[in-house]
Amino acid sequence: MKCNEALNILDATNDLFDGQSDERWDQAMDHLETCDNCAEMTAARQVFDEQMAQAITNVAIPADLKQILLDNAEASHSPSHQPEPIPQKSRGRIWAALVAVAVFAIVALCTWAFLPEHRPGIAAADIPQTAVASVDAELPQYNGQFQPVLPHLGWTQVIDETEPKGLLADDEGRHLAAAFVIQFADRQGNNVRGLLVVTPARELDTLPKESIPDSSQVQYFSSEANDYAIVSWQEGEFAYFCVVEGGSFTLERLHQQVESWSA
Amino acid sequence: MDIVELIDEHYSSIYRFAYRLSGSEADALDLTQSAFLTAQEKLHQLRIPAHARSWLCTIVRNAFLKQIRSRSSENVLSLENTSEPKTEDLRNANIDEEELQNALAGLPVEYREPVVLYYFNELSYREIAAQLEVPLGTVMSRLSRGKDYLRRRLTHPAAVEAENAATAH
Ligand SMILES: [Zn+2]
Repeated sequence: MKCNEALNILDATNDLFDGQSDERWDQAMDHLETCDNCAEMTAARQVFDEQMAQAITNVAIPADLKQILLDNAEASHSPSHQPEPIPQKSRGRIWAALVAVAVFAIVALCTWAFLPEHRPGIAAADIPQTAVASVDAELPQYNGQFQPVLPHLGWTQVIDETEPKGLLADDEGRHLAAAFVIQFADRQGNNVRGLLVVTPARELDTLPKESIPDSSQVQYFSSEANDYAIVSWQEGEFAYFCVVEGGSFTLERLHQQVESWSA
Repeated sequence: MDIVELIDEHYSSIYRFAYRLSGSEADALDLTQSAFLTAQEKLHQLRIPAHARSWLCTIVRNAFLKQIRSRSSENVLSLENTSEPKTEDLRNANIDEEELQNALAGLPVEYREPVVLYYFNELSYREIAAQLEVPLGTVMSRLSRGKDYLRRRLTHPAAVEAENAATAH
């Protein structure tokens, strides 16, 4: 390994590296053993990093910040919920705000009355079978109108490409759901394959009950080729369906993996 | 965990994070306020209190990205001609608060985010990849270029400014 390459790897990973074995990291560490220049540079960079970590958190906090936040929380909790944080206001401004809200409501109501009603385009009960059938299928690139967002934390580790695939096309051929391909080797070296299907919650006729992946909600499916486990949950504006080949054990391993990364 | 506890425990670190990401006190104040309002609305989604800080950071980051989408920046990292700092420069660097903020502001957002997460939250590059939802290789290269930029800039501020002035003309 060349000096520059070793330094770059150690710079991006450093001692914050989370202990998972990595061939390139090992090679970079081997390089340090034999190269005094790189060893010295890495040590100096660590000194600089420590200074940076200290300097970056050294920010003066506005004296009234906590009170502003507590006031906001109180205001948004009370029945006359204010959507925007406004720390202090006069009675006149409250009246002006109320009038503005009323005008907005009337305009919104009129606009809404002339818009076609939005009907959910997807029967939630159909998704598991579609997802199971799609694990082995050649799927097209996603072309739908929403920007699919991955669930909170951990998932990039198990998804092998960032470009999602498309599922469930509407009348115009636009995808109503996006699917991220799950492919990774778990700690025992088993290959895990599956799909993470994302769809806007508003497109579903029934929403998943859970707000995080919960193993008590797992459903099992068998196709001719394999067994599958699927779990669904809702997060923000999206509903997620995670299907993996190999049934409950694989799903369990996947969850352990995702949880250990997000911990 | 209720919202008052959440504010009590995390308001200062969330403000600091928002400040380093956005680079202005006014933006940091806006971001912190809207983050805690969003958190209050979605508190039921926070099942594991130990994840509260990273959850709040994600909310701040999303709000920040939404905010800057309208003000796209054309910053490019161009420090190829500045010499790599020597080990003694790194060991003796005395990081000035204002210089640091200017240096961060000079980093394009896609480099600034991983760098702030790295130094601020002490996250590993794997955790950063997970938070930013970008591939590991991308995080590694952005992190190493971003850190390289900060080292050069904070150890030779004058040289960097001269270079930026030269490339601007
Ligand atoms: Zn070397």
